[in-house]
Amino acid sequence: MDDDYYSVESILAENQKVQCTFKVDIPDMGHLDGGNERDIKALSKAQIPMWMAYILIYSDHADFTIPPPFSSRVRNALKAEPCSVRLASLVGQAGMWYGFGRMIMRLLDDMSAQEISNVLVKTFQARLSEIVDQAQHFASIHAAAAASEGSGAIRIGGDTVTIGFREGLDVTERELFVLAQESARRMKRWYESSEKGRR
Amino acid sequence: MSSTHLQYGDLATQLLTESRRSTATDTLLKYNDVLVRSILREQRQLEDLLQTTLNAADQDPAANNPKMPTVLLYQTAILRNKRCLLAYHHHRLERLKDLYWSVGGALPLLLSMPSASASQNANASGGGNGGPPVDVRSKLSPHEVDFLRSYAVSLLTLRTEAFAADAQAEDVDLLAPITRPPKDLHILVRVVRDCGVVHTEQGAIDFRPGHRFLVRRSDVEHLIMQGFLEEI
Repeated sequence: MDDDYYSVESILAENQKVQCTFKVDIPDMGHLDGGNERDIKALSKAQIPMWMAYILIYSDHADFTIPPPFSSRVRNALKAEPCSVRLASLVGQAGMWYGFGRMIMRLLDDMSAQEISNVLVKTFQARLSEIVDQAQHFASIHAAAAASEGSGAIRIGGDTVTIGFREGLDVTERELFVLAQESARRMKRWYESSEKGRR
Repeated sequence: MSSTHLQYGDLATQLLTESRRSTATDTLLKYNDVLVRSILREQRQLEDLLQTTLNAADQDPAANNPKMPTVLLYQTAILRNKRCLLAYHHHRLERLKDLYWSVGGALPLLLSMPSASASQNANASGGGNGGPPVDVRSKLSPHEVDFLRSYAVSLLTLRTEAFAADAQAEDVDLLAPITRPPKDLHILVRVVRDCGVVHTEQGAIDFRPGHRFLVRRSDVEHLIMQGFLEEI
């Protein structure tokens, strides 16, 4: 995800909400919370979209809590086994776990930002090889299934663990998955066609 | 004000969801005039609110203004909406430019082209996609048509100024397709859509649908790109 001003994805990503606690009274903004009061009172809490939260937090009118996708529970799970966590289901609709993490980082002080950054990088590294591996695998399974249709022994898509992993991919990871799959396919095609040409 | 149930920026989000859908399905969606207008209306409302809040605050000493957070939020919402609007239009313009190049710069053709085939024209012409034949033009706002026109004019100027032939060199055709370099001077084509009588260097050829011709490639290149002819 890029942070370009015109990037549609980046704009939509900023709709992700965080829990904010207001430090001051904000007049006339009670509707932000969905409530019926006229003003926002200090110390009340609300779910605020990121694009609005930035300014409130920077200007010290509000504080925010680390959202659940980066809670210590999730972090511990990631520490134990990165591939077993379904990142997509943590962040809902858009499924941008890494992107969300980066946005959160911008709001934190150096120490905790570094911490989140480490979690993101480690998770990405640990999952990447599995992603590429499955992508290659997926392509070859499909090719085999197409070639020998009818021989029922082939399990398309593999067992439940790999299926679960695939469904839990973050948007970025899904993109990489598709890329790896496509490249495997092209590689195969090139290999077959050039082989015939030479011999 | 309607914002009791609708948050700031919700309309703009709707607009951008449309952009995303357009990218995902690779089609040009109709210009959403209604939504754009209602976002502009929201902008005006926000500005009014901002202005009244500021005016009310003028009496207080500016140093410690309790309304400051409110003002900030109004401004953020305005900037957010602006960004969304700009992104929406930018996204559409990029799509239009792609379309323009995919038909080899034939603007009148592009405007009258059924939009279903327009997006696929680059690789497979005459895909015969279902759906009513709505032409591209009806999906554009008037300003977008203007944009395409002036884009075409700018390109034409570039072509005549920068790539015009000097004494011995050949013209560089900016819009020529370069994906596959030609291997032969002549080419066997089949007529897909009727394009009437075309005058070439070898004389006039009546391209009727279904017929095949062996012609000079340079004469018909643009017709192939625009989907009238098909290479065999």
